[in-house]
Amino acid sequence: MEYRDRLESLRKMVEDISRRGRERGRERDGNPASTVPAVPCGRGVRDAVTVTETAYSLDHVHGEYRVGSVLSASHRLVQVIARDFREFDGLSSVAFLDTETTGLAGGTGTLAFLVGIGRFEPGSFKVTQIFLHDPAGEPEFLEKTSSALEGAAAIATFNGKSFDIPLLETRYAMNRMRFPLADPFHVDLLFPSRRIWSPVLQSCSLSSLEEAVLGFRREGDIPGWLIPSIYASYLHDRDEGAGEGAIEPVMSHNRTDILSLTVLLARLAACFNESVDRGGARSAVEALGAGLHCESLGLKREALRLYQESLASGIPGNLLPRALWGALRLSKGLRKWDQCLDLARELAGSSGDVHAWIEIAKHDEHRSKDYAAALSAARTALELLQARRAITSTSRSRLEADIHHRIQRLERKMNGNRARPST
Amino acid sequence: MPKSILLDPRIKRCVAAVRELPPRDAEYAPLPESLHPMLKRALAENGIARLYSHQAEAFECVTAGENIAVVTPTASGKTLCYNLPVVDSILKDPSSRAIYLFPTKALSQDQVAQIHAITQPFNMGIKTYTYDGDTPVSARKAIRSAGHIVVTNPDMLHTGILPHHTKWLRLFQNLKYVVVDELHTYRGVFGSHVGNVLRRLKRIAAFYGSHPQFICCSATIANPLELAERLTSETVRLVDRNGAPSGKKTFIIYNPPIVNRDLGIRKSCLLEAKNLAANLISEDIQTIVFARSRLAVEVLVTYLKDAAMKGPVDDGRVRGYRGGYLPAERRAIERGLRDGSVTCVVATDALELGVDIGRMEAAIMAGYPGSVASSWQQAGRAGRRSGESLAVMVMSSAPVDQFIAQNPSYFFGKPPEHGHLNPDNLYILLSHLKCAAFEIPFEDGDSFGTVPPAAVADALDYLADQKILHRSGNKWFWMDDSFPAEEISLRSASSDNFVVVDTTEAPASPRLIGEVDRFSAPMLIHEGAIYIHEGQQYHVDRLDFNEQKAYVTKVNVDYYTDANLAVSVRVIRENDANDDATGEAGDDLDGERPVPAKSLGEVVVTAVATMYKKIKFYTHENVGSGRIHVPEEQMQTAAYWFVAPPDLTEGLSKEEVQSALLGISNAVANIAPLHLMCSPRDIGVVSEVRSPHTRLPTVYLYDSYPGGIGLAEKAYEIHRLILAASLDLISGCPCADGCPSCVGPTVEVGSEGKKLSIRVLQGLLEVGGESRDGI
Repeated sequence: MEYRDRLESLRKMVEDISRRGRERGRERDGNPASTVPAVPCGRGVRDAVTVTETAYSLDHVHGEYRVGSVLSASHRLVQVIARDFREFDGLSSVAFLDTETTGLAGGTGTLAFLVGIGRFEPGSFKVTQIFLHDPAGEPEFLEKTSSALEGAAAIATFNGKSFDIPLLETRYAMNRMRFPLADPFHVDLLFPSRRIWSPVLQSCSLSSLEEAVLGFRREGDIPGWLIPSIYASYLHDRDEGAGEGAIEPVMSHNRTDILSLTVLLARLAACFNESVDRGGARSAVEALGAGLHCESLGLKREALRLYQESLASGIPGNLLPRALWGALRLSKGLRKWDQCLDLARELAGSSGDVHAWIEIAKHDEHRSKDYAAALSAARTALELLQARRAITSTSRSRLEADIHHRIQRLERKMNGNRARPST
Repeated sequence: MPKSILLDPRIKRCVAAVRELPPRDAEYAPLPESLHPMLKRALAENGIARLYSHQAEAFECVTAGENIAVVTPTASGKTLCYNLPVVDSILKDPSSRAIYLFPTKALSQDQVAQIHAITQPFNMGIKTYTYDGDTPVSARKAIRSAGHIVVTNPDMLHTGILPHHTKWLRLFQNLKYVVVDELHTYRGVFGSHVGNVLRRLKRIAAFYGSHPQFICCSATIANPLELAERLTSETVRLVDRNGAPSGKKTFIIYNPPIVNRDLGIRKSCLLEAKNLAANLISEDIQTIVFARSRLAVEVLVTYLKDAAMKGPVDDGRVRGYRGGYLPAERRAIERGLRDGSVTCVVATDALELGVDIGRMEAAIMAGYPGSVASSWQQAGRAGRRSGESLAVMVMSSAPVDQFIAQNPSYFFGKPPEHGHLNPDNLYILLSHLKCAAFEIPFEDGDSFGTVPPAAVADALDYLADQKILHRSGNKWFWMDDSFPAEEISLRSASSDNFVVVDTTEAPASPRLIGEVDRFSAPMLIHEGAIYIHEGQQYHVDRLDFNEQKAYVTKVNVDYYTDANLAVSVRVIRENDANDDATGEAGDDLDGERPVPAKSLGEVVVTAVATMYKKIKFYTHENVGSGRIHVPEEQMQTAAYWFVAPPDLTEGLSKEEVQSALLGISNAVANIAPLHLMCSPRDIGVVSEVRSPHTRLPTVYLYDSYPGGIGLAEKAYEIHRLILAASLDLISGCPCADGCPSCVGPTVEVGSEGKKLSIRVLQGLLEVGGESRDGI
């Protein structure tokens, strides 16, 4: 009984949301360049697959950004964000892709029933949505997906590397067909977004990023977790002759996702390059994240510049050591010794960092040859280490041995100096 | 010489039977002509110039396209029976693929080492990988596309491979062989599951256009062919002419001395096994001791560590080995056995399987392992290859043990058990139909293994009604936001484990020390229990049932704990077929409807752990008790029951009827497994003085698995045989008024228990007037 009640209330919730979605659908879509054709649904539909196209002007505003903003991002910037330096034919060849599925479990039993593909065309951004009314029509659904991808050489997704693309590849394989893009240039926005915003956001889901970073609030939108059950009841109700319009909220949700993909890419590009059309200035936190991203790709000068900017523009205290260490690592690589010393001193002063004191000791020992200063720095490091208990035992004892070794060597060197007075 | 312990007169007195198993010579066959030259060279490199006859026969059959089941004893070179044809086929066609299935992860790792010995020295380009829960994610992609031989276990196949078959395109397109080793372990509920996993495997292979051959290997059981055919849903050819040599073995049945004739109490079999093992250890004879439960393993490890300790420090010469130890710990123990640094290992039947622990000189079984097949498997751990060896089976006071001690020829003359499985058990079948529908949509007219299309369609319609599937056109599509394989465990208890957490050293940083399956948790890790791990005692401070965690601290006490399980049965459906009963037991009290002498049906079994006893080490006296607070567990299963008609119990008080029923139940619970050829754990027996269903004194025998696996059904068929054998057991027992070896201890069944049980059993056997042999 209780189970049935729960089921009933869930069904009611889905209906309410669908209805609200239908009512708000048009106002929320703002001012697309062409009107949105309603998806023909229900039993009257003969075709197993419907293809819908919606065009947005490049000036269509999504949150705080124009859909066209991303077009000012350079080819190379997209490569950096994608962590892939293969050539691709520019943003007009990128398919912004998002799927809606019958579940999140993955495996061969999860279907994609809606594929949305956004492409830039001269003067507009066009979203093509391929919808599967009947699982038996999957081969046709995949064929139409392939045609929508024709001419695309690259894809942009949010978590598509782990979810959407493997899922589509599985669907094609199940139907003995081949996904049209084999090992394509693929910019998955989840990874760089996490790198940049995870220090300041609780969650890096697309909807959290929309609210926190893109200034976009979804109103009346269905929650993503409800989508599988909406589709399942659509299939069921359709058999019973009902279900008209139940899918429109899902279609709208999918279009929103795709618009968010374009502006999120623009927003990410702005974190790397100030000249990209953007809403606000790059923050210190974003510069740090972009720096870490560049450093991981071996782009050292760019990374250093970004770390320095994050330091200059007031990075929050909890992230300060990360920025300082980033700058210190790269300055060392570029043999900018004075800068290194300044950074190490700042680290040593601001957070009592053991490793920073060791850096100072190294500098004093090997470069300024001031053994007394080096010894004092090494001893400070040792004291700090011994006062701290949080460091795990093995790494701690190794570190402690290193410092002892350093201190002994320095003491030897100082004694040696004394033993051999000027000859 | 392990046999020298027999010279001790105290030991000699207790020997109930000795069998010398003579050494046997090898039968050889030349290497097959058609073998790939590179493989011939590799074999030569491994010192193999000719084959045992069964290896050659296996190769011929497989090359001829047949499915085979190889049945030969431990250490007879079974692995070559499949490695030879598989490696040969890959050398001749590098696109060929094979799946090796082992029941446990430990065996998989062993296996890969063995194939590498053949394939690596010559750089044959054959890639063999294990693929299981321990395989790093980074390595998985390469294994999927490039692995020629994928070594895995049924659980991983079930959740990790089949539901992701599109990622294994290469494997399934070119799958030529499926190797199923340790076939005999695929019995009961596990076998019934695995039979369905293999049906799914074949369905997927067919989808990609391949039709693999099955190569099965088994320890000796009564019906290997039937088991292989039911498991694979294929026609299989038996290869059982063993060509491998074996050394001389002495097999002893040892019955501990009686300490109290009236109560029928013998010296504890654990203590006797301990003494025997301690003797062997002191002679540096590498010994394996098998105990029947985890608790018994730990108690023995504790005793033997005490006995074997030479200095003040535990030198690790005595180790335990059982389910619940973590993998790294197990690997270390296996290595220690191979390199000789471990002299004695005390194990549960986990070591019955082909884990490579090298050759042991002696095997001691603390109690009859529960089946003839297990006894020979465990005995086979001693002297695997050649040389003289000793196996001692120490009998406990349990009725079956005493039955065997008194009739040793019964044991030596008996064929090993049948392996029963029932892949068509409705619960199990439905579970796997879900998984199969998830993997590839079903179409009208599809069958599933041996399940015909109409039955498949019925089940699928049912799943569609549940809105798990969606029917469109002529297909059923998976339409549920879940991953069915993950919700289905192939072993009744493996996926649902409780963890044991040691909080002794730092309550803030607890240490995981072991695992306990859900079913055993109420018995082993209830609050107040002493949990023993590697001989160390832990007190269970808290059991968090919802989180499935037990928090323990190290203690050092002189007792262990033993829990009681209270079981009750409720009939929910009685089969119509019961009406043609062989004899009517009489009318029920209202005189409206005759009660059949025996019935078959479905029941709900409710089990709850109620209390535990504290038992002192060595003396085994009861030194206290406590209550257990855990939720009850329910299970729907198949049962058969029989009643004592009113004329048989006339003049008996309620207590006397109860005595008789308890006595009969005890005998039946112990005798039935011998005739059903199953493990005692596979069934349960309970009785009621007045059953709400039959309104008469009733004894129930049920399958210990949800849905049943055919044991109650078989028992129903051999009802009279079971009663007759139970009567033999009780009336043949040398005790005076009943003892644990027949009707149970007199404190439980009463002083008249033996007499009353015999009276009722005789009465039951006279009903119908048939001869006792006429089943």
